[in-house]
Amino acid sequence: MLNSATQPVYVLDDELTVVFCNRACCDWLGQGAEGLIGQRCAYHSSPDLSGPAAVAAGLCPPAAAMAGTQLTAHVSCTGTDGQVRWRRARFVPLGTCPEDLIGLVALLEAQDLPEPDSTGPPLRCDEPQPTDLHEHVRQFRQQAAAHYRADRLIGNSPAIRRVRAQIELAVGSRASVLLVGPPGSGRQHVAAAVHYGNDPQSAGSLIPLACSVLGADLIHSTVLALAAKDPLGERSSRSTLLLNQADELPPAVQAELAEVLARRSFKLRLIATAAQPLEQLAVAGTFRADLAALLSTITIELPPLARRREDLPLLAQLFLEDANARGGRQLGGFTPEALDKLDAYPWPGNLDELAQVVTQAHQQAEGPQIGPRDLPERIRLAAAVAAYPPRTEETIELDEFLGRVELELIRRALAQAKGNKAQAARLLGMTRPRLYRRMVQLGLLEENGGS
Amino acid sequence: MVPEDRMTNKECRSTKDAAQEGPFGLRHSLFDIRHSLSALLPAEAAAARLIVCEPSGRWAVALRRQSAATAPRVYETRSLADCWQMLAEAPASFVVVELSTGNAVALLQRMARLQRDFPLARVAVVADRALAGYEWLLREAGAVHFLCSPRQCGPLADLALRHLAQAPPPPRSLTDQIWAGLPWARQS
Repeated sequence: MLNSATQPVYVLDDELTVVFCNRACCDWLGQGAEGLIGQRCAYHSSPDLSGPAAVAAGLCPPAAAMAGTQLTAHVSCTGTDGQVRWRRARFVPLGTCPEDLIGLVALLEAQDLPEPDSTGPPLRCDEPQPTDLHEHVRQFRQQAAAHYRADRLIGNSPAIRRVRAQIELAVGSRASVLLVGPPGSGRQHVAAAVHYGNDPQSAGSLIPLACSVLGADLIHSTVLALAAKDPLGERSSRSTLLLNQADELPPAVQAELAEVLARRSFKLRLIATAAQPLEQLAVAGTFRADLAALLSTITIELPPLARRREDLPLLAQLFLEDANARGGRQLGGFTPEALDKLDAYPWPGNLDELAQVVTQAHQQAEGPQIGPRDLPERIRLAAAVAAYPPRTEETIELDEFLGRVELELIRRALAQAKGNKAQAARLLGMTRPRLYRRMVQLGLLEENGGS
Repeated sequence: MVPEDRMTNKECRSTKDAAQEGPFGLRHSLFDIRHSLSALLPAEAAAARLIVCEPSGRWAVALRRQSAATAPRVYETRSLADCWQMLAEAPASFVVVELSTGNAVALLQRMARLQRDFPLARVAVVADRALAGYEWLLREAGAVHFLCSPRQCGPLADLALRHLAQAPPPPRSLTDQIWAGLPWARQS
């Protein structure tokens, strides 16, 4: 009966898989029912798919259609001429509430819409149309792929050249990749660069998993959902599971994870990040050896910024250009003095810290370039100490260092005492004459106009 | 940040390594591993918070109930704009956002920039069961967890508390740290 209806009709099950498509619908779509049945039209499917998968993506109902109430939305298909055609569709739930919903029947109008927006708002005007979502997902992936390109890993140091060569190797295979490096060294960037590879358009989803904060139960249930329910559908074989901080995986879940991830049916590529090589941890007995081996087919070591100082001017300029691109004043670069100060700082937060410092300096700079005064205090202080290099690696010029700290404390005590030296001296636990002497010795008296 | 007496052996090792490699070659505790994370926060950043963004308040109630023992303060917001404003004040916060049919696209757009704008923040998404179809889309965008029932808030509360325990303290310069240690500094 449905097959002979002139109105296009298709039926989805509760997993959004096409289970029926009548002749009128096949005619409109230009696609045979045999190719369409079994295709899933989930929200993470992409309009840049081809064949029946692309057709199914256009039939995706709004998420609220699974709530058990009837609603109307637009569906689309691409004709043989490449033009996108739209029709209004009424989605009728098969079931009365979300718990017992077994699927949806979609009844399409007989005529194409001239333009999806020219017919007035859809039934639920706050509902994002699936086609909008597809477009946003496509843009999201495009932006991510553009931002995390391997060629943005700039630098000429041997360490970063080696990283780039290893990324090229990893992009060409589906082997698991372990990214070893300290926090902020660009592990996420490299993971995305490997995932999106040379063909970002056809890349699937990159699903991150925060191993350091998700408990054993949440890690297990998430990975199991990916393995058993295959929620990414046809994109699974092009998708990646990113295990962030895998070295902090709770021991309780390591055995189960090793078993699930090793299954042949688990289609996602594995990329993991860690502060130390997992196989070293396995030797030390703090990580399961089979899981370490599973995750470490290709190991890429990311150097801390302190070990690639020659790249620092280039990286700082890159982050400055990013800040310029976000708007505000357009700055040309860094003064040589500012670069000296950046070079003297140890960068414990690595690239992330450098990006944050440059962004902050960009906001504060008043001149055409970023100068030393635009940099945060900790950078200036580190540079000041580094100006008096220690005789050996284990020593510092303590008098000079403490002098600077003392100077700052006296300045603050004076500010708190509103310039009253007697009160500032009391705060600092010294006599007024001694405070006065120290101010003279540290050059603070001239700064305060000699008063 | 977990106090040193509650750290695992591995965390202790990391802290000591960081201290040995600290600025100026100093072997003292001022420059432990917390510094490396605090360094990612703007100078004026507030301490990490548990921020909930939802129209009704039901998820905040469920979170408070589940984390009653530790009782973290839950900062409630009613719009994505307010939520992201609060996140800018406390960039290492844990954010719980309720997804609705109306904010799906806006949330996706904001989450696309989360890693770049707030690298220390984490976002979990909660939603009505009817919106379960968005789960993997939002996970791809960076959601650390996706939940469809306030009754299952227990693991979410644990997750938020773990994040807050690991979050770096607000950044302080060396001079600030010395200043804070002085007995009269708190009077200012």
